[in-house]
Amino acid sequence: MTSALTARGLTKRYGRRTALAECTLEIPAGRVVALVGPNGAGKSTLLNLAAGLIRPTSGEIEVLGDTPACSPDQLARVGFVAQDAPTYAGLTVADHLELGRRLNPRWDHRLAERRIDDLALDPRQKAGRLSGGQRAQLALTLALAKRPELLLLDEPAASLDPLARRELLQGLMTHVVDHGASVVLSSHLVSDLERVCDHVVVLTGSHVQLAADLDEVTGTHYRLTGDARDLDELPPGAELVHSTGTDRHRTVVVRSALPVVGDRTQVEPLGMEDVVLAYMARAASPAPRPDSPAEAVR
Amino acid sequence: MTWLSWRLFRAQGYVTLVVLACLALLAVATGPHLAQTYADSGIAGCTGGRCSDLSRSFLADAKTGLTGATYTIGALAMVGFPILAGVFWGAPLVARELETGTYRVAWTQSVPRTRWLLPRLGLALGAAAVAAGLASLALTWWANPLDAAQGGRLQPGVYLARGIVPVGYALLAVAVGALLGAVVRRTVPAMATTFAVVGGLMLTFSLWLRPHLVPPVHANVPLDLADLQTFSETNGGHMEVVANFAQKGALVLTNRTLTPQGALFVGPADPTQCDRRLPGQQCMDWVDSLGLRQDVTYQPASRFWDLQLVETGILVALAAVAVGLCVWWVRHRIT
Repeated sequence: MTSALTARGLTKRYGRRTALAECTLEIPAGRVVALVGPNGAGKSTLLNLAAGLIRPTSGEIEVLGDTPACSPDQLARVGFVAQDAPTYAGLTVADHLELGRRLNPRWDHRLAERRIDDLALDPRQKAGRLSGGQRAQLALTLALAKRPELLLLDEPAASLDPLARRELLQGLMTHVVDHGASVVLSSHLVSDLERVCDHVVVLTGSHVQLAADLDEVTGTHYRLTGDARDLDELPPGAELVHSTGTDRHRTVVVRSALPVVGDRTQVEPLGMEDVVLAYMARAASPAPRPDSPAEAVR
Repeated sequence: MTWLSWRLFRAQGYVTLVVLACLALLAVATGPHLAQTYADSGIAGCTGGRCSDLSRSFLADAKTGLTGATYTIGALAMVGFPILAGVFWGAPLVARELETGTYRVAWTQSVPRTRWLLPRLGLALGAAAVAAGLASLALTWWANPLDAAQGGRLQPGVYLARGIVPVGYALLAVAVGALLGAVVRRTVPAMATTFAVVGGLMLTFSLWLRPHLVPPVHANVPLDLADLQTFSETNGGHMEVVANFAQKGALVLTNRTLTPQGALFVGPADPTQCDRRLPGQQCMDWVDSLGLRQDVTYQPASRFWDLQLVETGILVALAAVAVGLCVWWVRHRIT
């Protein structure tokens, strides 16, 4: 099975500014993938590269086994909802569906109309007069009715209120369950994604900190709290992710395939949000890490 | 793409149609009367010196009231239209998409960028060419009596509003606007640059290039003092004498007065003939006796269509280059 997205040494520079440096990652197909990371980690750049809107300065990227936007067919296989869900302000909702119908060979007009109906959007309404949530839903409808094999969503929920956010993600999930498609959605709001995704990629400073299935993520990370001396030596097979605290008292997050049991330390398994935050904290901490050339550019 | 191109252009297209209709109405309302006045004036069959008098009174008459207003509006509209088309149709074509982010919608449908850009650009170019062509056709017909009375259509304000150059400028303006929009990436700065560039091109052609598009005609004729442009004598005896060129409607490039030997005539004035205390006519007669020649390079009025064809050809070629660059830029530089 080909991966949804493969990047090797992917780099994008704008003049002197490096938006993405030497990024290497593989995103499996058939999953709902959360691409998480702090602002400026290169998530948007990566997704724009994947959508073929921009081209890499160096390195390679393949989407569904092909160069992004290399042909009308490749374009048809990938759906993209850009950050802030841009729409044509002067065009009505119905116009947007007509646009999708005329520009996409695999367009599912019934699906689009049903979604607009379900969302109670007025087809005659100009997109410029829709609320942020409605606009995001319209943009998502445009991408879904295209019936892509891979959906790329760049911060689809960032500017929405919690209710609109949940509705948007629910709509997305319903579609994925009904029609099946790989999804990559980026966000810095980790809590949103926990409910919808089954694979997570943590990207910081262009570097992949973690890429794993969700159940693997939540089943293998533990937080150990206790006396610093007891934590000098980690449990066998455990790998240090991040450590905070003083000389005496420490909190340590570890990754371990084996169950971790503590005798004098307190052990708790971690949920996705905490795991992601630990990896982000590791990347942000000044501690020297041999594998982080990207730190220098930020 | 045809549908989307039209959908995004529709409003502007309708506005243009309404404006064109208004202009046409104005032309139809005043045209027949203008043609009748011309026919009654007798300019068409006149001979000799009477002609210029008849023309002058006809023009003075015609350039008042509604006819005069139509003439001015027509000229302004024809010179202004290419600039407006470049600014409002060309410049925002790519720039607005980039600025508002809608390019990320447009370019992620199943249509490659080139196939998105060309229909949109083609529609704007086509609409600009048709609008400019129709307006020019109407104005060329309407102003025919006035142009005939004026003896030519080579003066920049007239030339730019007749024949086929308006089509050339409209095409070039839209293409340049689209290119600048893609390069500048912001709508308002792109509009401003387009205005400057298209206006600059019109000026450059009118002031410097047009007279040389076709090799000018050279004439060397006896100086006729009856119709003088300049006749001056300074204290040192330095003289400057220039006569108007007799050929009606010609676009004059150079106009010099030469001595029979072929040198530029600069005097010196004969103090026994030219003196402030003597009657001016005496000096004039003396100059007349010198056998001076008028040496002129010019484009005759009959060259109108030659110049129009050459200029339009150049403009269309430049527009094609701009379109090519725009496509290249959108494909390879907006990444």
